[in-house]
Amino acid sequence: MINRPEPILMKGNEALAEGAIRAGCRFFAGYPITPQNEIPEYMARRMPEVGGVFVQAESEVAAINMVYGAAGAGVRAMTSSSSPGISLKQEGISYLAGAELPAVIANVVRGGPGLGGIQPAQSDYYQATRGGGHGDYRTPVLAPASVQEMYDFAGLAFDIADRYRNPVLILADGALGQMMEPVLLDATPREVLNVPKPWATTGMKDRAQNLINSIYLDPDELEQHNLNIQKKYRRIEQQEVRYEIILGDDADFFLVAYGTTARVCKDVALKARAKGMRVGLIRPITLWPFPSQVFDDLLEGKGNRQLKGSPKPFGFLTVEMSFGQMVDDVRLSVNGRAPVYFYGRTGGIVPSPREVLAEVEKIYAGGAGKPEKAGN
Amino acid sequence: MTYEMLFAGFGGQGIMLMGTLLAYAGMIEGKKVSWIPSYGPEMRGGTANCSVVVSDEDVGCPIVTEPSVLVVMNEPSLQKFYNTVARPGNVFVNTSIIDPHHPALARLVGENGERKSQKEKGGGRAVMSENVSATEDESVIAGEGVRVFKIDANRIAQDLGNGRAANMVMLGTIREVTNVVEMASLESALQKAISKRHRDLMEINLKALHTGAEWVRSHDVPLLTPAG
Amino acid sequence: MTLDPASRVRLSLVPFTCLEGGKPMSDATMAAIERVETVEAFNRKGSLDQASASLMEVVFSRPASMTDTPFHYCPGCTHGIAHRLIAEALDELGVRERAIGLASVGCSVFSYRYFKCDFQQAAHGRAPAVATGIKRCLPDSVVFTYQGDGDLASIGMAEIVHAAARGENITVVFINNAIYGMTGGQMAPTTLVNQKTTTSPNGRDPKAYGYPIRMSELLSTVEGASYIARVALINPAEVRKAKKALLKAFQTQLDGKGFSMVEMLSSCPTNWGVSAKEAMDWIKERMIPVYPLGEFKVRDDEGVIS
Repeated sequence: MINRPEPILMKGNEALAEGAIRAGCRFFAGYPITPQNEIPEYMARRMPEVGGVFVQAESEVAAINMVYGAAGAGVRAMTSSSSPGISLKQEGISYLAGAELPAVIANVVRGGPGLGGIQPAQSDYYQATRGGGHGDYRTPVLAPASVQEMYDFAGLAFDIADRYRNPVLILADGALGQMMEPVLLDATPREVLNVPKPWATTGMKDRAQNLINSIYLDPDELEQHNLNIQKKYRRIEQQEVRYEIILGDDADFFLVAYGTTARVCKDVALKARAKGMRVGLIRPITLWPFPSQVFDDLLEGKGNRQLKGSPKPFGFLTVEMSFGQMVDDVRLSVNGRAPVYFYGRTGGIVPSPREVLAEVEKIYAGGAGKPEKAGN
Repeated sequence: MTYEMLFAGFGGQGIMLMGTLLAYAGMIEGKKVSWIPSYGPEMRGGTANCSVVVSDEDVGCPIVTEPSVLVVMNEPSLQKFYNTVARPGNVFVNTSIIDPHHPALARLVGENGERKSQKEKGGGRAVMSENVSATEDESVIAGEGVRVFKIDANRIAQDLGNGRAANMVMLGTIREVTNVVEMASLESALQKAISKRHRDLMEINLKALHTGAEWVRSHDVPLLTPAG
Repeated sequence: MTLDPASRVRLSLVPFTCLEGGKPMSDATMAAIERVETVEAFNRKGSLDQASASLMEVVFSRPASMTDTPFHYCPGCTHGIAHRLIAEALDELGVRERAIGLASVGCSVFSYRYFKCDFQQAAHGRAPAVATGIKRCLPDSVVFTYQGDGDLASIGMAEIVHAAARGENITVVFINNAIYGMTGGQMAPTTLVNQKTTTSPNGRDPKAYGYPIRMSELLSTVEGASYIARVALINPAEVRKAKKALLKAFQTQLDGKGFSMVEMLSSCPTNWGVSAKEAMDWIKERMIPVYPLGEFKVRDDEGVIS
C-alpha cells in the first residue's frame, strides 16, 4: 500500500481515514451523509486490507453504539458523520464518556440548524466543546486546518483517547473534508501509542468480570464517578492544550480562528501587514481544552517564548463560520482586558479574505462600533 | 507567485480532472497546492466547479473567490463568475459551447454592449477602443487588465479524434499562457491520474494538451497590463 | 412410590425464585421440597439410608456462570428463570470464559451483576449495535444481548432488525412481558389489545394506540436471521423447551450461522397487578393466543430454512 515519503494528493476525508488506519484503527462504523462520505467509502476499501472491520450501520445512532461495543472490546474504533448525524450520535458519545471508553468521532461540519445545507460551517462548536450530549462531560476536540492535519490528527486523537479513556472529537468542516492537498504519509509504519486495556471485555477467562457501564443509581457513587472523570478533565486541560500563533511576534492586534477560517485569516493577516497593520493570528488547535493561557500571556506579557517582547494587543477579532460560538471562549479568556470583536458568515459561506480584511480595517480605523456588535 | 484558479462548466466536461491535474502537476514541482470542488447535488447535471491554488507559499483560503485564472466551459458558468475575475486576470472560454460574442466577454475587457464582428471593423490587428486590443481573429481580446481566450475546444478535440478531450485542449492553453506549471509536470500528472482502465485515452489526451499549447503559440497574444 | 419427573424441574426452579405465589416460600413448602428430593433419591437409590447419604451429593447447584448476588427482581418475575437458563446454557456449552453479555435498559439493566462473564451495558435499544461492534472485533467471543420489549421492539426496532438483516452472529434473548417494567407499567409495543397500562388506562385501544408487534414473526422474515423461537416461562415443561431453544440459539452462533433470537414470554405481576400464579395463567390465557409458541425459523447445517 501507500507507504512513501513523497507527498500524495489526497482529499481531507481520505487523509483522515488513512491516518486513522495507520494509527491502528481497526473498527469503523458509519452512515452516509454529505460532506463526509469519502470517509466510510475509504474505510470500506481499506479496512479489509488491514484485517479491520467496516460496518455500514443502519443509522448514526447504531454506528456510534457499534463503536461503543468495539471500543469496549479494546479495539481502536471510530465513526464519522456530519452535523445532523453527529446530533444523533450524542447519546452514544455521552455513554462513551460515562463508561470512559476511548473512541474517535469525526464531524465534517455542514451548515445548520436542522437539515441545513451541505457546505462548510463551524456551527457545531458549542455542541463539540460543551459535551454535546446529556450529562456533565467533556471531549477533547481537535480542529485540523489542512489535509495534512486531517491525517495527523486522526492518530493524535486516538492517542489522546487511549491515554485518558475518553472519546475524542475531530471537528473539521466540509471544505477540509472535500479539498485535496499534498499529504506526507509516514514513511515507516506509524508508532502507535500502546496503552494496555486490561478493562476491555474480551471474555473473562480466569480473571474477574470486566464491565463497561455508565449506570450508578446510588447518588454518592455517581458523584464519586463524576468527580473522578472531572479530575481527568482537569488533567487534559493541563496537558493537551494545542494552538498555533502565526505572525505573532510584533502583532498589536489578533485574529482568532480555527480550521478553514484560520486559513482565510492567515491570508487576511498577510494582506493587512502589506497595508501596514500588524495583525497576528491565534489558531486554537484544541477547541477543548481551549488555549486560554495564550490570551493571558498576550495581555499580561507573561513568559510565552513565542510572544516575548510583543506589544499588548489592543483587540481581538474572532472569525467563524457561525454567528459566534468560539467567541464566547475568547471573551472568557480575555475577560474584559481588551475588546473582542466578532465576524461570522454562515449557511455554508466561507468568509472571503477581502471581507475579513475590510472588518480589520474598520477596527483599525476605530469604526467597528461596539465590539459585541461587530460582524454580521 | 500564487495562482488562484477557478474551473467551471457542466458536470461531465472533465472540470474536476482539469483542476486535479494542475494541482497534481504543481505538487510534482514541489509547489504548495490545494484543490476543492463544489460538491453536492449541484454536481448532478448542473454546473460543477473547482478551485485550485498553486503557490510558492502555504495556501491560505482554498476557496477561490477572485480567480486570476477563470476557465469557463459553459454559459451558466460564464454568467456566474465573469465578474469575480481578479485584475490582472486570464479568462479561458470554451467557445464551442459559449457564444464567442457573449456580451459578458466584452464587458470583461471593458467594452460596453455587443462587439461588432471583425469584418465590419476591417482587417488587421483590431483595436476596439483605446484600451481594448485583440488578435486578428479576435480569439484573444484584452483590456482592463483582463485577457479573454476564446478556444473552440470541442472542435479542436474532435479534429484530434475525441471531442471529450476538450478539457485537455483548454488545459494546454492555460499552461501555455500562465506558465503555472511545466508541460512535463502536466504530462506526468496525467500519467498518474488516468486510471489503467483509460490508458487507451492517454495518447489523445497528450495530443490535446499540446494542441492547446500550440493554439496559444500561433496567436499574437496581447500583453497583460494592469487595469486602469 | 415414584414421583412425577416434572418435580425435578420444579426443584430447580423453586429454590431459585424462592417464591410462592408472589410471597416468600413458606416453611411448609421448603419441607415439601426436601421431602420430594428425599423421595426422589429413594426412588433412585432404593433405600432410605442410601437416599439420605445421596442427599449429601450435589444434585442441584448454581450454574458456574452465575454469581451469588441475590436478584433484585420482584416476586413472581421470570427474569430469574431466564437468567438461570442462560447461565446453564453457557455452562453446558463451555463458553462462559469467552462470553460477553449486553445488559440493556429496563429491569434487566443490572443483569450484569448475576453473570460470571464480561458484560457491557448498552444504551436503550442499542444492544444489538453494541453487540455488533464486539462480535465483529472478537469473532471468537460468544455475544448475547438481553433485552426487554420496550428496548428491543420500540426504541431499538431499527437496531434489532438490521442486526438480523446483517446476519450478525449474535444471540438475542428477548424478554416479552407486554409492559414497561422498570419505569412503572407503561404501554409497551407488545402490550395486548385492551390491556390496561399506566399510559393506556382504559386499555389499549387499537384506534388510538395501534396493535402489538410480533417480533419473532417479523424477524423470521429477515433473510439474515437463522434461528428464531418463542417460548413461555410458565411451567416446567415450557421452561425445558425454553432451555432447549436457548441452547439451539447459542449453537447457531457457535456454528457461525448468524443471527439467533429466543423470545421469552415473561411475567410482570407487579405491573400487571396480579399474583405470581395469576401472572402465569395470564401468559397462558392472554399472551400465548397473540404470541404463539414455537420455532419460527431454523437454518440447518445445509443452510436450509424450516
